[in-house]
Amino acid sequence: MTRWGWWGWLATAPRQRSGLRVLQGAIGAMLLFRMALEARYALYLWGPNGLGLGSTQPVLGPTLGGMADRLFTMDASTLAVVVVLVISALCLLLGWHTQWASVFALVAFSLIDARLPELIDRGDTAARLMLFYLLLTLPFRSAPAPSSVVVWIHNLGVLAIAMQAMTLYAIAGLMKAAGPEWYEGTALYYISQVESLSLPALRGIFRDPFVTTAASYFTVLYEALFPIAMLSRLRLTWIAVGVAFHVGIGVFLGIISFSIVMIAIDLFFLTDAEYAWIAIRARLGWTALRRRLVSLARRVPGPARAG
Amino acid sequence: LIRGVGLAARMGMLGLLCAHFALTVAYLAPPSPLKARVQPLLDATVGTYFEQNWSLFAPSPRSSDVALLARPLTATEVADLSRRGLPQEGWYDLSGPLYTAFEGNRLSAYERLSRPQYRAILAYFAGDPSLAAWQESCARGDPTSCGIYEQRVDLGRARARELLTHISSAFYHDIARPGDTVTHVALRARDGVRILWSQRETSARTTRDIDLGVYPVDPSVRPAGLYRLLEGTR
Repeated sequence: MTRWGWWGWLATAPRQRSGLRVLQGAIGAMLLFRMALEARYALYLWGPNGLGLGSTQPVLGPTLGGMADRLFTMDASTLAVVVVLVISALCLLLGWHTQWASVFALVAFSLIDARLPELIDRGDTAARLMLFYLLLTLPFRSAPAPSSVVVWIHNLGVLAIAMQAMTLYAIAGLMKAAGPEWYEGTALYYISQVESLSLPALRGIFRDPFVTTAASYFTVLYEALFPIAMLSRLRLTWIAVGVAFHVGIGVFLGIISFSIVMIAIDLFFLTDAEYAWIAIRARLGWTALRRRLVSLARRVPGPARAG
Repeated sequence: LIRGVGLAARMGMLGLLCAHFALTVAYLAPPSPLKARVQPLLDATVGTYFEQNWSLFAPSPRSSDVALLARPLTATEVADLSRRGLPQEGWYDLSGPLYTAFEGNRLSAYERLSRPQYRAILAYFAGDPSLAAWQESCARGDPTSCGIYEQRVDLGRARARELLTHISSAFYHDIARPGDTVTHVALRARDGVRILWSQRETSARTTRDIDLGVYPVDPSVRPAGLYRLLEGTR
């Protein structure tokens, strides 16, 4: 924070550029992951006479919405939407033309979401909202004039992503706190009994009173306190725990696309200085590891020559 | 002057952002008299353009799978329904094989492909889980909440019927053989009964079947390309 407080934070220089890049890449990865699994069922899910019954008209109005809906009246145009989504996701992952990629990914993703909303999960909702806020932010390597309007708009985008993430966590935590199973500490036991979601090997673990109570209370406290933690000295701890928590959800519940997005949202809260520190540490670690491997290789005797 | 306009524009943008998140928080907040009053505004703004719901396993987490069962019916069987009821034999489990396949391969689309079935069943009975707060408020005697809840349940149920028609038709087109005279598909939900925490070591999972109605086969619906695998799961 500069000497002008929050005004200076918003006005002077673009913030969270590395965090935004991680978020873009993760959303691209999540969309590619989804399409890799679902594209073969695209016509059944979204195509003409498929399962999709939804319309974009409530959002776009009868004229524009009608035109958008017509995309799903032909096989070729339905597949074209999927292709646009795949290409824009790839661009987001690789960091190519990320602003245009965000626009096309948002449009294509919103179209298929609206077509069959019964298919989506909260990770998809979070990704759609984040894609919209990403439109306000600058490309990763751009160098805007300090204190310019584009810097202000970029930082408003950063603020929007942060506020959306905090709202998401706080509401999820408070809604859980109102549920009797979460209050009693048995919620994780009940979730673990959903056979289509949980790993069989881990179902038994949540029959243990200590494990299920601790895990249930931890989930509520972690989520409900997330906004406070992000504004306090607990931020780094909360981010590290959040990443581990969502890796666990990905492995244990198998909701991989949701986990990818949520891990990226957690990592978005690391500052550019922290990313720079991590990059230096990683480089030093890699150099040390390479040096050690080379010296180990030299110590191993080569094959003995015959004769 | 230019500096003043620039400052006003920046403050305006910041104000818009604050207003947006104030509406978002109000949209996500539990039912209250104030929220009921501004509900049309919330629906027209956040509900339309920034729709979101963060009831992740809340307030009450799901604790079992709900499977969709289907039984293709010939015209004769449909005519006999009022006299003989639904047949007991010949039901297909449309969800179980998807759950099993997903358990075998987490890097697959099977769990997601089962979601339309699960969500349609939920919507058919009680509406979306996001309506739980309105339902609770209604149960406490608030007539406004009851109005909002009932309106949304009716909308959700109408959509669920349409989706179930598509799911059952897509399924039937997948397994249909030449010369079949099937005109309708009967649907049934198989709900796993929750094993209470206190009975976790003594009880085994039981299920109950709930009929979802009989739906005409829509000849225009595309085959799923998914249920041919289920031929052996009758």
